[in-house]
Amino acid sequence: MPMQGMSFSSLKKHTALIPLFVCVGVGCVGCAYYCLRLATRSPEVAWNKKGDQSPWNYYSDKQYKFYSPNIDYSKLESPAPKY
Amino acid sequence: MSTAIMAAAPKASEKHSTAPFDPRFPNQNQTKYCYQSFLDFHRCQKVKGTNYEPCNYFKRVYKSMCPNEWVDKWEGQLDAGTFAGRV
Amino acid sequence: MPTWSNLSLQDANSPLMEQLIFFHDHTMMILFMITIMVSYIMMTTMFNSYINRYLLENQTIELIWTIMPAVTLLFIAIPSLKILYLMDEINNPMLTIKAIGHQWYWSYEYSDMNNIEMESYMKPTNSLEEGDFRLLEVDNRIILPMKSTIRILVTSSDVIHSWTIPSMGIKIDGTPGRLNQGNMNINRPGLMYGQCSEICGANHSFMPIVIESVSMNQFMNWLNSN
Repeated sequence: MPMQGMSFSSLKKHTALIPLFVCVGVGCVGCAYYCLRLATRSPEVAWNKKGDQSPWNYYSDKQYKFYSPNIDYSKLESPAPKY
Repeated sequence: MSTAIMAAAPKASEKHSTAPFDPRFPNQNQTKYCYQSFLDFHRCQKVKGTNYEPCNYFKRVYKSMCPNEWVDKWEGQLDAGTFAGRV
Repeated sequence: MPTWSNLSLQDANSPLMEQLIFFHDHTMMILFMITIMVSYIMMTTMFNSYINRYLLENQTIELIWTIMPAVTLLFIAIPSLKILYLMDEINNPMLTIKAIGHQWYWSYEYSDMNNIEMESYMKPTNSLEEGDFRLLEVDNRIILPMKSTIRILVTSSDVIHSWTIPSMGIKIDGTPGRLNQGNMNINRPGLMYGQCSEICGANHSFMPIVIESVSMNQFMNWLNSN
């Protein structure tokens, strides 16, 4: 018989598999989300030659990191003078 | 806890200042900060002339952030006209 | 204080290292508990005479031993992530120094005001004085003020080196062409030792790092006199 737990009916019979699916699922989704965020939002990644070659300028007043222990980012702005 | 110690500002001593935190470069790799400041200084000078005071902000930053060896090499390249960046 | 046959972490000289030592102790406690529990279960299972020929699935215990490790890992992960983000706190440093690795010595640059450059070679064993540590002393120590945030940028001019000070919990690789930033905040005046931590050739074990941490006044005097 095919592996138990891969279809809904067999899953109801083996309820102990549910936390396993939840933990593995959260891990996979979290990893995929983080990698996509790095690829698309990181200040050091530029994908094509025609696009913006200085993606870091986008962050001159925004926060990139998930969490910042001191709230400095609220009154943030890049100190470099504009010319 | 000790977070308070880490977040406390140091006693300001004289006018000793260094390159501030730039949110455009929040990560560990500060190479771009150094290079971008160098480029910005020379572009600023090109656009505004050598006597424009705010350009010196970039000069202070790249002097603090960039190893002297790199700065000497780039300035040598600028003088020889072989610098690869867009100034 | 590095002493020979030291098994534990060195005493912390920065708030970050204090947090790392707490995390180390916390995780070690969890590991001890897991090890003791598993050993106990193994011992009792091996030295008993219970037999159950029909022992097969049991949903409750499966549930328990999936959820409990997940919770245990959460207990380890959350302090770990907390320290990770604490290390990246935004702080406007008071001073920036650059450490450049060479084969086989470090050179340091203090470029904020007057440009001070110095090279730091290990003192050869035959020129050590009484009380010096073998393979750890250098001719020029890095002088730094205590209790202020210092930014250190590490790079290399040839191969990969690594700038390490265990008592402050700092280990920053220096890669050619790249500037890696770390920051430190020294609690006490004194001497802190470290050694290059990335294999870099014949004398990789002979390029130590010594920080001499002094009061702010002494530091400013030293800066102005160089």
